[in-house]
Amino acid sequence: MPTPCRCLIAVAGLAAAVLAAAAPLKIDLPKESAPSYKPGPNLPLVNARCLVCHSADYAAMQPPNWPRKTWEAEVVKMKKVYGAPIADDEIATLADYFAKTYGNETAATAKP
Amino acid sequence: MRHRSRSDLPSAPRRHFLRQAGAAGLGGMLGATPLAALAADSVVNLPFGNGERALVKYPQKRPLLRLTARPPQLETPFAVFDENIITPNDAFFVRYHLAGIPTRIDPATYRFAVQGKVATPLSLSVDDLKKQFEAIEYVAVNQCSGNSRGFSEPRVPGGQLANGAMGNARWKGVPLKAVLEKAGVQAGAKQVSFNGLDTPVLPTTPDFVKALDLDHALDGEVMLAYAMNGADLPMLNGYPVRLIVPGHYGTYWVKHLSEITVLDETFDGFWMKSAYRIPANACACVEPGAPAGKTVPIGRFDVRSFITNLGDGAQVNANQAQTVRGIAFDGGYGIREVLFSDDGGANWRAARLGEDLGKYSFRAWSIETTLAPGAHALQVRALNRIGQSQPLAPLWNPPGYMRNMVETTRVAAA
Repeated sequence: MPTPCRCLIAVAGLAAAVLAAAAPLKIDLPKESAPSYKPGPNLPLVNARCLVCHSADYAAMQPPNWPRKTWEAEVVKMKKVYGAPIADDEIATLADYFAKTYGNETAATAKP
Repeated sequence: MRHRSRSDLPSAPRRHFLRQAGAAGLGGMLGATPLAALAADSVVNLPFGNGERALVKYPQKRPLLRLTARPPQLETPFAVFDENIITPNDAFFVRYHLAGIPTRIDPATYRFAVQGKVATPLSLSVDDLKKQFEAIEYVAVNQCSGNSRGFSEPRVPGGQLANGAMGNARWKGVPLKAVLEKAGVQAGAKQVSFNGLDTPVLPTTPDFVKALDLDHALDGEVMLAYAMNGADLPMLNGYPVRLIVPGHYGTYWVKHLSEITVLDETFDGFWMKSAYRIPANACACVEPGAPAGKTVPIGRFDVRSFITNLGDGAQVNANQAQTVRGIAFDGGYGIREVLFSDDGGANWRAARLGEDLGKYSFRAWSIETTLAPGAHALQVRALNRIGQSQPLAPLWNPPGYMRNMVETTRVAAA
């Protein structure tokens, strides 16, 4: 049998729950897992252009061994479709980074 | 390719049906599976390249597979689908497109607008929805258009999901129809668009806005939901009000609704005109690697089914009756039959169907099998009430949408 004291606590808890239902809902998101892209050529430019809108895991989860032209198409899509602040003469530089860091030109995958 | 269809019903397997007689007990239930074991780890390796995912705990969520941190995209560990036919709120997948997501919403001040080609524009709170309209409630699956994209071959760009970007919940809210009728849809209206509180980081990025044809919006089923499984929606699932478009891909289920706009033209925003489109043919597919060609907006789910209590590579006891179980669903016609094969598709038997929670819900199924020592390929294939089924081979399209082939689970009996 619960003691009267416990009942009171239960009632107080219920009242708090009712009040909480009308309160603002606020969440704190966990920190980003990777606040930078992996080391590679022109990393500062990559971080400056490609972390504005999304985290680096967007690139890291893509299939391995993509060729340069596939990464270049992604860079162009980010610029033209999603309005990323990428200058025309930066497209090749960014594609070069992704091909060499996440694509089929990495040390592990590049053919001799 | 044009002869293929997601609705193809094979005639051959049906000749080999053996109706399962009687209901065996659960004594043959299988032991710990690789799927169950995964849930305890902090990292999961999905079975495709770059498939390593951290299990991360987000507010109001249990640890889920994190695809991306900003905006958050979280996949449900597949073992969850074996626990309950209803997916718990804290395990339900999360998908955002734009990083400007709301993290604090006050229901006292939250309102959404009903505007555009209406007689009386409205501004409604959650309380207004609860007090001014009659509630409806139903169970419905939500599934990402790109669920299972990671299995596309050749691989395609996008969120690299395994099979966990789906969930089944009991939604409660108000029919969109009732709200639109209160506002008074003007003659000549064609579509209704839906915007939410999530915003792009840059003004140059298209805001996430979706649209439905007017007759769809007025079908009485499309819902403005304020409750999910008997509780408020979790923030990351669209608190306080999201659109429910039962039977249709999650892209239409706009979260944190802010604006409902009645239009007298076809909405031409990026997320309808350019994104979330599929090849305009019966199979929504093209030759692997080919361009999409003519496209249309993605629509209803195709038929899918899964084994949930055995993962690929599981070890099972040989020469003992065991239960294999799982789920099936479709685009809202209802599951009529689930077929099971334990010999790689040579013979198929009908599984027992579980409780019918409605035509938009997951449908549980189960069946007994006794396996001889050795390797076995288990397959499951569902059929809906209008004769749609699942293809035996994958169908491919450039965005990696709508995968629904018959899945194969390889087990070893010893």
